[in-house]
Amino acid sequence: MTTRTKRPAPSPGELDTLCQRVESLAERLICADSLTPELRTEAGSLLHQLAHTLAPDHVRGSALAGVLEQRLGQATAVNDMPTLQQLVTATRFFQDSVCRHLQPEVPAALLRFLPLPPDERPKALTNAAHSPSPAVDDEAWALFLKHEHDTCPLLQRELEQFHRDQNPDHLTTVRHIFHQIRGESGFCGITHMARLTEAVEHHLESETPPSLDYVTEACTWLSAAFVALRTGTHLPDPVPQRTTPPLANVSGTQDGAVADIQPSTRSVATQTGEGQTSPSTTTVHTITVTDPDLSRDFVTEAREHFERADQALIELETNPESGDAMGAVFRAFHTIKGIAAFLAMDPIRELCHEVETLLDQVRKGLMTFEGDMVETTFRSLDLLKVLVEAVDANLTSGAPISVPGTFDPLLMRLRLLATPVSSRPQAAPPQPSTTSGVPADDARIDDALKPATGPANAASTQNVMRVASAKLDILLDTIGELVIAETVVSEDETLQAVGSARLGRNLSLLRKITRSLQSMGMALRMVPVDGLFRKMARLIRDLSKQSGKAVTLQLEGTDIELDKTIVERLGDPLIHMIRNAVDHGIEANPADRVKAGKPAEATITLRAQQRGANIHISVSDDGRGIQRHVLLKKGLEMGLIPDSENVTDADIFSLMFVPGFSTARAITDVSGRGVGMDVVRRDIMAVRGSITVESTPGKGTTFTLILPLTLAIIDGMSVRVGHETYIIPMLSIIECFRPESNRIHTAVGRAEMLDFRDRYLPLVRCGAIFGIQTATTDPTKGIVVVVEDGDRQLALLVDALIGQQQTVIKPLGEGMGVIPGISGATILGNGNPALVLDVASIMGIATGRKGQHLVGTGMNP
Amino acid sequence: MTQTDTKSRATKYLTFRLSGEEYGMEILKVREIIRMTEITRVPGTPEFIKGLINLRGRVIPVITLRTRLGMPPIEPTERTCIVIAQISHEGKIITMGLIIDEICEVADLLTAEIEPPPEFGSTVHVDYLLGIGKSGERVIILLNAEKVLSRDELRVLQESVPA
Repeated sequence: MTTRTKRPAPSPGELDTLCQRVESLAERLICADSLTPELRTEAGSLLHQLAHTLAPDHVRGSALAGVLEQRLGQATAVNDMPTLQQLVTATRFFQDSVCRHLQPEVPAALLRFLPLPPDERPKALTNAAHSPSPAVDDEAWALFLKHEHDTCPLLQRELEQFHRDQNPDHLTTVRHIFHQIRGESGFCGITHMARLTEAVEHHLESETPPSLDYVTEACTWLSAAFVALRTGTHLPDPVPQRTTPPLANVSGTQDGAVADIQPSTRSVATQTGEGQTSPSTTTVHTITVTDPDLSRDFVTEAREHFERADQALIELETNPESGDAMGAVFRAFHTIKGIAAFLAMDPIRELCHEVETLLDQVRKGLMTFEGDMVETTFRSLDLLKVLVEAVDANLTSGAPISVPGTFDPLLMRLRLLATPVSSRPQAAPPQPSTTSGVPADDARIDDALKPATGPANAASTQNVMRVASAKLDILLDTIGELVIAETVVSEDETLQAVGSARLGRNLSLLRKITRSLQSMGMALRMVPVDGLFRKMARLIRDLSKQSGKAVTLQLEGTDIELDKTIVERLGDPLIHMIRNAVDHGIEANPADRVKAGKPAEATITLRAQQRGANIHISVSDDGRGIQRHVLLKKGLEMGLIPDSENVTDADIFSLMFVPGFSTARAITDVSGRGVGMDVVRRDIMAVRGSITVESTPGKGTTFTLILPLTLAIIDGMSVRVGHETYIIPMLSIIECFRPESNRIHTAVGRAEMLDFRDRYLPLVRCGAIFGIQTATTDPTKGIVVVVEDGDRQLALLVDALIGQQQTVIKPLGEGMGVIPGISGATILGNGNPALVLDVASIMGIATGRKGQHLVGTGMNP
Repeated sequence: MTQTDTKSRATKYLTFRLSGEEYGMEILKVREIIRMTEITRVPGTPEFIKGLINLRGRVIPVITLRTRLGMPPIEPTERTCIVIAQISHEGKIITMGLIIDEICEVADLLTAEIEPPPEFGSTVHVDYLLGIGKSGERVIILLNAEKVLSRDELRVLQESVPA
């Protein structure tokens, strides 16, 4: 199985910085009267960076930046120096390509930096006289010739680098370049070049390791050929006999036509078309990501289709006659197939195609959707998900895309299922046989699609715009900055001293607008839990099949919205909890249920509700409930509970979340709860949530996840310690007061305790743990903040309370790492950063334990 | 400006002064240069970590380059600047501010003008030196931004140099 990795594209952060610099330079250039030395230096440095950063993705932009930088640097070569106006044009070009993600053509004004004046072209072509030349306009020709100066050196460089470090990324770049030149030379009618590049491209694709000599020779030939084209002399002789071994190899799989690099009379267009046919082998399936941007969109879109298809398949299973559901499934596969074909992801296209063929039989009434067919369709959908996720992994981390071994058997199965009807034309070729990847019978399928598309589509078409989440993050960051800037301005002492009523009004208007912008920004991040819940429907279906227990799923509050980041991280915990509920919560024998007065079919309810600033998501089953005494016994055995007196249900249920506790077989079988519940708890705590458990023997169990609306903002209390300001999350604060000296006691001469509601809490001086010398030493002059994490409490001594505020939490930055006692930072009204305290971690520091054993609201580590 | 030769490519370095000596860092690693600003101290961090600053809404850690390199710290002056540098380390982008005494210029150094750092024995860590650049009469000590900024290195240094 072949896999390819892509050289990492510049990160959003890098591009963002670059973008800012381009914008600012553009502004300065436009305002400038002449090209001052300062501007020249700044432009040079920026162009240098552009040339560097754009290199992997944007060969032309990178090359243009490189040439311009070089020319700028050559102060003596006055003739060649780009003018101010040209630099302005260039920055516009980079603004478009870097900041707006467009793919603009190099502007005409900059073409004068290209090696060949356009009017020389006809001569060059006629002299080269190697091919029928299609009409190529001057600009395209000039751009093509530019490869001599930018692409050929890049090619050499990449090859040299590969020679040195053997990093396959370089070869990928080389292959991309050959691919690009192949396309362009075909377009310009340079048959020789198109053939050679094509052969090299195939060689690089199919041979590991490729023959470097061959590739190097091809590079040399290319450079010479470009020179020849520019000067209008004859093309150099084709790369000689030495290329035979690799080419022979290519011809083995390529039908001979492609491998032949001798001049031929066949038109270029046909050849390049054929060149896209992938090697036809039955055992090796390859997915190559050729266009990362489109592929990313594809992954997102495919995931949406998966969700819909899952839902529709479940409906079809109970109601095979449903035309709408069949239409939805069909559309999902059809759409994914179309895009996969476009992106040349053959295995995905093939799989979709087979499913489509099968479903088409059902649509036509030739087969019924039942039994093995249902199962196979589900399996196909699952395999598709695996493939698409692999593509996604490849996009993010460069992980190889592997096609699972089940692929071929599944294809066989699908074909087998689809064949019994003899009237069907041979519409499912076993191999990709057409050049574009779009099968010939698509027209028929499109026809078949039409009736279903009407009403269903109208309902699902909302006026929705898809935006990359990175862009959204930038927007939200900028709004965050605006909020801070607004606070800094309106709290400015000079402005407040003015005392003008009009200024005051305007400032409060500004504040109002800023706040509403902030809340709108936050709303953008919110997504309904609907999609998450729907995924669980599929899970319940599968679990119900596996376990042989009849279970229905009931969904409530699907329109409740949550921060997208939280929703994304809820999938695993919910799957875990539902699996537990089906496996262990629900009685194995329906007769037991009927005996207990419950319906034979069990119900699991997924419910979302908003409660104040929190969202509660609960998973309830109507099973037998948790057997309290078994948990208690085990807890006593393991020494997690000191004695059986005064133990609350919460104490006992919290045992389920202790790592290692529930893996004991006796528990899983008898009380049947909590496999991996500690993992669930950790996941939930990571999104600053908590879990509660309620259970009634014989009636069922409910797990409730209490989640914050958003991760980005917390309600915080700002406190002063010495000269410094810290933020304590309001969620963890129980009470704040000035202690009287008779409530503070000292044990063993050091450890201080505070008498609080008849309990003795450890008193922790913030000044001491954070090493702040200026902090108050006398507790009766400071303020005690009682905080809790789970059911543990602690008294924190600070100097004073400053006030309560909504706080945007920001990470400390990669360079900082994890600081004990601190969960992040925020920016105060005066523009200075302040640290947000991590209550759970402070408890760890204070008590010398890690807060592992208890369920509770905690700042994530 | 140095004439760029195709054979030996010039690299651009931002140069700055630390206790009288001229240091350089690849310009590609430098995001921007800002004036000295308010810095929030972070407890429990090594001495050379000065704290956090607000860079247009982003929170960024700042280190005192003098302390980082084992030189005595000085009080900030008019010319004290923070160089915001960015590196990518193990797939993560690290942005950090470096407090330096004074900014000099952007210098072009040809590969031929850079010598590997000499062995100083155990007195000076040569790990975070990229080399010694010579531009006419000037000597520029080139810093390895990755080593200076990455946390692994910070930890190693923290252990070997008692604070």
